Amino acid sequence: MFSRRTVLKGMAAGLFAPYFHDVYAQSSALPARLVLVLECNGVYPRALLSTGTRAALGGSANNASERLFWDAYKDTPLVREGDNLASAISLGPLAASSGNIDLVNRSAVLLGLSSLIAGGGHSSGTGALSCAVNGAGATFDAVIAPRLRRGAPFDVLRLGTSSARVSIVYETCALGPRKPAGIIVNPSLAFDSTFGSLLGGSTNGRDRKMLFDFALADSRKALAEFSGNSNERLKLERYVSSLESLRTREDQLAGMADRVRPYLPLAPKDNPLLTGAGSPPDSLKWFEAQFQIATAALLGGLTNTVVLATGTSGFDVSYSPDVSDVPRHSLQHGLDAGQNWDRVAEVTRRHVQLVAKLARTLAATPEVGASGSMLDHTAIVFMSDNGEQHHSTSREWPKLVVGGNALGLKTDGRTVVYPKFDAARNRQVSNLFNTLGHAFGDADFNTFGQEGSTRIAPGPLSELYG
Amino acid sequence: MNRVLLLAGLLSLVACKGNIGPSTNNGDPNNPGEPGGSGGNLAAACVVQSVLANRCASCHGALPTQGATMPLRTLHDMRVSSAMDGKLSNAQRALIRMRDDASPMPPAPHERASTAERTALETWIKEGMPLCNGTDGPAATVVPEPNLLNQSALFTCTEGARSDAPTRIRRVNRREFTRNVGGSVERSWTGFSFYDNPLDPSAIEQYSSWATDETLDEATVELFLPVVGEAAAPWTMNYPDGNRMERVFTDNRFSCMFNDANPSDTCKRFHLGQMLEFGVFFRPPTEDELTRLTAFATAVIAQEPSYSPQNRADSITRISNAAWMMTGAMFRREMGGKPADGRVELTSQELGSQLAYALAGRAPSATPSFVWPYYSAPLEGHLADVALAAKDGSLTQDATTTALIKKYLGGVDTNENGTPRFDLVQDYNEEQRSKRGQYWLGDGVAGFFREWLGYEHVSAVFKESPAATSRFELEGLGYISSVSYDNLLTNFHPLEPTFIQQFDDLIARVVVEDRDVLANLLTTRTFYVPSMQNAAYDSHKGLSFPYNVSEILPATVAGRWKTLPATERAGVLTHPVWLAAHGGNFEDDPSIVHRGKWVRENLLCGFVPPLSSVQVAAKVGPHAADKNARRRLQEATAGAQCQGCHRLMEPLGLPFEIYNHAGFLRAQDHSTSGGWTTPDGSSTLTSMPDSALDGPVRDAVELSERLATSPYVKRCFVRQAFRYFMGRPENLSDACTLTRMEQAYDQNNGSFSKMLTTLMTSDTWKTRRVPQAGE
Repeated sequence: MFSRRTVLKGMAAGLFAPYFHDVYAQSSALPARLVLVLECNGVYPRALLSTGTRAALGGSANNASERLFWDAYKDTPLVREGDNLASAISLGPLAASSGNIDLVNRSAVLLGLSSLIAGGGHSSGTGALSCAVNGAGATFDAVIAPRLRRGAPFDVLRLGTSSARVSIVYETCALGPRKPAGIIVNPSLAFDSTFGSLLGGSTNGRDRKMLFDFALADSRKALAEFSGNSNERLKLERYVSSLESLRTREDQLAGMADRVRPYLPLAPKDNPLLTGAGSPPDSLKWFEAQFQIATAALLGGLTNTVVLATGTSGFDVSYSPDVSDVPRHSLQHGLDAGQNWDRVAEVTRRHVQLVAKLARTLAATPEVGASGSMLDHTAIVFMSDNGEQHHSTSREWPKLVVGGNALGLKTDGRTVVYPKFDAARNRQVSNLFNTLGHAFGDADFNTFGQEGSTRIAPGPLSELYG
Repeated sequence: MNRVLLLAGLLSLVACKGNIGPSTNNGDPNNPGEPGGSGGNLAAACVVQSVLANRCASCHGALPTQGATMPLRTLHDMRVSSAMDGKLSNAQRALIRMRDDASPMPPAPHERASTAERTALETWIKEGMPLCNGTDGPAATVVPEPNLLNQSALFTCTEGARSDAPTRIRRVNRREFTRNVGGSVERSWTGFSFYDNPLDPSAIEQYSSWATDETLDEATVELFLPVVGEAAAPWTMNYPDGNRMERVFTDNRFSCMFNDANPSDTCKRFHLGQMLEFGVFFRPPTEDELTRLTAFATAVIAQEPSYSPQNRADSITRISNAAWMMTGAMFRREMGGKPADGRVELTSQELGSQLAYALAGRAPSATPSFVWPYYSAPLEGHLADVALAAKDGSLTQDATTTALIKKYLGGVDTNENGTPRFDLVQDYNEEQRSKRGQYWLGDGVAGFFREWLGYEHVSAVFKESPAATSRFELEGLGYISSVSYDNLLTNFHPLEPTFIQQFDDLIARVVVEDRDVLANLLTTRTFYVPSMQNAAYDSHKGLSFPYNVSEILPATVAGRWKTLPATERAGVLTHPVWLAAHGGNFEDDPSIVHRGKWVRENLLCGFVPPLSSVQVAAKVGPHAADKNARRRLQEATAGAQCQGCHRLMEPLGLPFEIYNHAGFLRAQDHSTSGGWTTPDGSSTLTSMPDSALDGPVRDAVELSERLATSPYVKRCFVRQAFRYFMGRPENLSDACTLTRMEQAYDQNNGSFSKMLTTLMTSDTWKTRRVPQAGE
């Protein structure tokens, strides 16, 4: 009879996703992190278009009422270095201001990337991050997290907001085909599950160790006495392994408590972002609370991969009255009425503001074990989950990339406008993920995505990397 | 799906190494025997093993990457049917792709498999895909997709044949846990809810009851702990979320645990024994389980800084958390007793658990809730008589099981305790319950219809302009229709039952009436339609519009039962909830595909290759005034490369085009001139599995009526019920049970309860096969 270790080691398996990840957890030499930020209602190209690029494109790009201006895109990639990105209507937060460093020269805007395979509509589901039909494949965060983990307690933190009345949703991320990964859309639960072990002090740590030791002993005994077949046995084996991992993590977290504690945000009961969020909650406030958790987790070394998705599995989120007195869906469907477009752009601007705050925090923190700041080793990607508009066609996926200079990313204040979706030299969202794969140290990361015969070109985007 | 053969695949890897045995080989799939290596003269199987490891594993690993959609690591993976083409195995598909110069596997820039390697794969397939140790390995009886099975064979009973389903364990799922601890499955925006637990069923499987691979990974445990901590409260004399365990108050044997600074072992064992039996395991614990938990409790209590009620409550919470982490809490056992002739009979406790979950979606003696002024069940718990029958052994008698099925399957409301729809006390207040139909089903039984018909997620399917193309839009009532439709889904301005509840009540009526259940489900015109008699807001004034009803129905239970016109509706497939759940976001979206696919898979038990296998941008063109959904779809899928799959769906979906995406009856549809024309639900069915279904169809009404008369459809319905209630897909060894279920249904005038009773008193239900060595 094979031992559990033998089976685990030999088979890895979708059943063993966490352990499969662990096998490759140490494969990245240099510090590297990934933060994916998704606005799940569409991000318009206009929102990220600088005044300089607008002029360079000409044509319909100069018409402020046109939120999409594909006929102005060129046949070859337009690369505009030294672009004043902050002049775009939603990118103002990148600009230097009193006490805030300039992030324009740490950022890049990508326009024109397509991902038809992901589908459009209100949401592409997991298609945005998998470059595949919804539910057909693992999302990039799940694929890359093992490479980035480098012994961190959590492989990925997946946080967000949603109009769905639940705490965990499953629309945006996936561990594999039809294997969704949960996103915690309740900041209180996210806080507890991320920092619970650290907050309780030695008593809490002792309690959890005792709990896991007891559960481990019970599950090992059950496994030893189990007479079912290998499939049933795997359920218990995986549970045992989970408990072993959690028990090990307790020791790890105990050793990290002093390191993480200075970064901890306010507890949910004291955090005005939560206590003052209203009902239904202000998505911007809850999203900021999730950013606080993510920031602390990154600074404290609890994880190196984060997904932050606002409006996931429920895009009709609400905002405070100073931003909009109607929920997002009504805003979108009255986009041409009154100030609604300005409000949508303002929501995007506030999301960029959260990205900028995170980026500046990382920029102010020296990287441990490498030169530069944490931002130099962190790629932050701001994008939508469906493409270029609320009812998207997935023909374009505007992207803002911040940081990652030490990883080789040309985030130097440039805008790249790729030829539009039906042009020969169009590039796809999967190329961006290929780029990030290369930046994270995998020189063979050329074919992520399931475009199959519709893949235009494999490999990274030379305009962004190399 | 079943992973019986995974270990066999591993064994084959070991065997490939020739003289290296299991004790020295860790089974690493990345280190297979090398063709032409020191072993020399290796069989084709071993060459294939090497090819898999060297050329396929990097993408087709356990977690497929780089665009791969399935693992190709084990014998099982190679033998199962391809999702791309159900007639071929993955191995056969792999060979085709390896030889495909236009789209080869491995893809460029990777080096292609050599001619010798491709020949070895072909040889191996021809040899029947044996293990490379020369044996055939375990029989490859497992079919991952039950709809690929021959239905006729599934209803051909060879007397004496018994189900080959082995013993198993099943992890409790989200809804079951919630019910077990007395939680509500309805929730508000904020606040604690047991339903926030992370034990969601697998998204892969057709029914939540299968739990084929469910277990607890790290993330699940982490998210579960904050929730499960609240489940301890009744045992500490607190009440969260209304769940109660009054026995702690009424039985003074519990008092020592609360009052003694150092409770005795006897005291602890009593308290913990009761906790495990009535609050965690829902069966009596074994002596060993109780002893270990008592030892844990002793250690925890010893850590109290001082005795106080609060410190003791904290200790009990820690003990409860530990109890919930035990395998006995999280996994339901179907392991049986002492083996005989390669089989086991499920224990009485296991039968009780299986019956309770199947009928009522919760464990026997599950914790009651208190929703003022009612308890949801007697203080002994929900289904306490099932627990009692399990404990005294009477559940092994079919008569006992039959009586319990009759009691818990469903019924007509009798104003139990003087309150309407007592079965809903846990979730709704009296006013809400008073507006519901009088027929009820057990949670488990209702769950079957919700999952089979696939309508529980209806509120997640966004609808743009729900009344588009209906008469209500033409009459200027588009806004009223829209806000009322939203209210039907969210109940933001409560007045009437929700959309889902209206459908629940229709189904419950047909099932409880228990005559020709399937035919009636497919043809009934008596729907439970909301009343607008007490409408106060715009969001109330169009509540019945989705049914094409604008008259004000009486706000009474009887008044809401409305017989709809014969030209408009016939059964569940014409119910606006089903239509909306399987409709798109826009009225001209390809709802045809979604609805046709459902009919093909769930009423005809046919196979449609999943979209994940189709690596094309499967989407229709832009909206246009001169294109209705039918035209948009036909323009996108007319090509032969699309029709391979779409011919299976579109003819069955087109009849539903008399309704829009939200289930409203269309009054008009887009014409090719850009104007409007009469809605068209016509279709022609060809090559149906039941030839009686072939021929032209006027619309969904006629389609439903035709489906209702088909014995083929009836058999598919029997299979669906088997899958849900047995908690697994059927296979050919289940033929006798399926046959008897069908006979019971036919011989009792289409009785669903008799069909279910036949299943739940069958050998298949009560016994399991003991796994073979190495299985």
